[in-house]
Amino acid sequence: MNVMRMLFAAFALAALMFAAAPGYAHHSFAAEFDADKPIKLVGTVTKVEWTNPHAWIYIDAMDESGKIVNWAWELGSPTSLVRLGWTRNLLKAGTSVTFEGSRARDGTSTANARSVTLNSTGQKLLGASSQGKTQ
Amino acid sequence: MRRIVVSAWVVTLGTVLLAQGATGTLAGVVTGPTGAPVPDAPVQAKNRQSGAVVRGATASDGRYRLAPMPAGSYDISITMPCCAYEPFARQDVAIAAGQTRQLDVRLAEGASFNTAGDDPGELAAVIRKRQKVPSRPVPRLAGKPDFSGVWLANEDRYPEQPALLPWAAKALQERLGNGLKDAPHTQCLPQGLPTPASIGPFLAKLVQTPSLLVVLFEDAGGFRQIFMDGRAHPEDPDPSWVGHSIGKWDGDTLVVDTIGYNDQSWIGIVPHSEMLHVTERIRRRDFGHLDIRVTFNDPGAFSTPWHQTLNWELAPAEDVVAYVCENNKAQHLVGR
Repeated sequence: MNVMRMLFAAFALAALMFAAAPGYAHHSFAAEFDADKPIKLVGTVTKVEWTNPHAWIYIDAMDESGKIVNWAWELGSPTSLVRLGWTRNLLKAGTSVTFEGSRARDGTSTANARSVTLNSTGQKLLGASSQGKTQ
Repeated sequence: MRRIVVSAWVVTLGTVLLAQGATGTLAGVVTGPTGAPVPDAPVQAKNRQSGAVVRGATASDGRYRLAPMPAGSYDISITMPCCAYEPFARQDVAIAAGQTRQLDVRLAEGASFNTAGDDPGELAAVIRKRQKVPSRPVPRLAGKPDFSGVWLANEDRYPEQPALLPWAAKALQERLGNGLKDAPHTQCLPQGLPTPASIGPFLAKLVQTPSLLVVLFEDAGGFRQIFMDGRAHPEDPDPSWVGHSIGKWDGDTLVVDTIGYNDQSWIGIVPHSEMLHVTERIRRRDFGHLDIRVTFNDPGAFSTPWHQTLNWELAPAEDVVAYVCENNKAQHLVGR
């Protein structure tokens, strides 16, 4: 009986935890990136993919051994970014930037962009919304 | 210290003891993962005995106060708009008569992982800020309210839980357990019912004629048609992602009836069967607001009907744009 009760309790808790069900996710960053692997890179934009559902910005950055590595950074949808004031020309190839986020679980040179800073001015373009407004 | 009291309201009185004055208060502050206050967080308390619900929201400093609450035991929940924060739930919180129970909540980081440009709550706030919604009477078309316009498709602020049959509960657990890696949207398929994409940072545009209501949305598929020309559902509709919808007026409320769903779509993250039957009661409360009461009836997945209450806001400064899902790089989705 105890097992049954535990199972029931676990289910009841899960039921509460997905109370957000209707608004849960249109994608799954949690399945893609690892919060325990934060990363911050200073680099130069090499390419912008302004595509739905997610924009991708690629930067060249130097790793610890001095080797230049091209990193792919995932952002929200261009549709949303435009409504937040971005344009597709905001970060052109050659722009010096600092990106912060979490590394991909699959170990590739991929990360999600939590904040993007223009190194020329120090302006934070868009930051982690749950940690307060930026802009 | 500034204390903003957010008035709470009792939705269902049930066996409420208000008359005897045996009430208490629940109060606290809601913060995010870093400790920053979370404004406009919907706080819900459900009485475990009576089922009565008390609701409120945090002020700009993250503080909330629910009162009066009949003394008793409550389940507390906070669900922010998808997906910056994990939902919060605390069961069996005792409220004693004449006392204030303090419950401070730190919300955990949610599925959007704080990715820049991917917090619908933030986006909705930005959109609201630039709207100037005039105070006008509800426009009418052929004697009925006209719903035409671009709407901020908000999700249910105080969501109910569906009563899932065992297979559906198991499927949902699997989805939660693997970080939602198989969500339709990750394969560029529509997600969310009855209007796909109404869960995310998306807008919906309604275009109404006397015999047809078209819903344009920014997700795969891109449109729904609600036929109001008196036609019936097909006898055996081919299952589809948005189903077959017919609408009839009940006074100034449009009642939309939809069947013919496939079993591939997710209602948010909740599974359903091809037996799903959705009813939407749509009312334009005033010029700037559309209230939609949705009933999901699915004997193949739910033991009782499940409801959502949606409040859409007119967004006259916005428009929907072409949205082709072309680049979901699912190769990085390895699960949890």
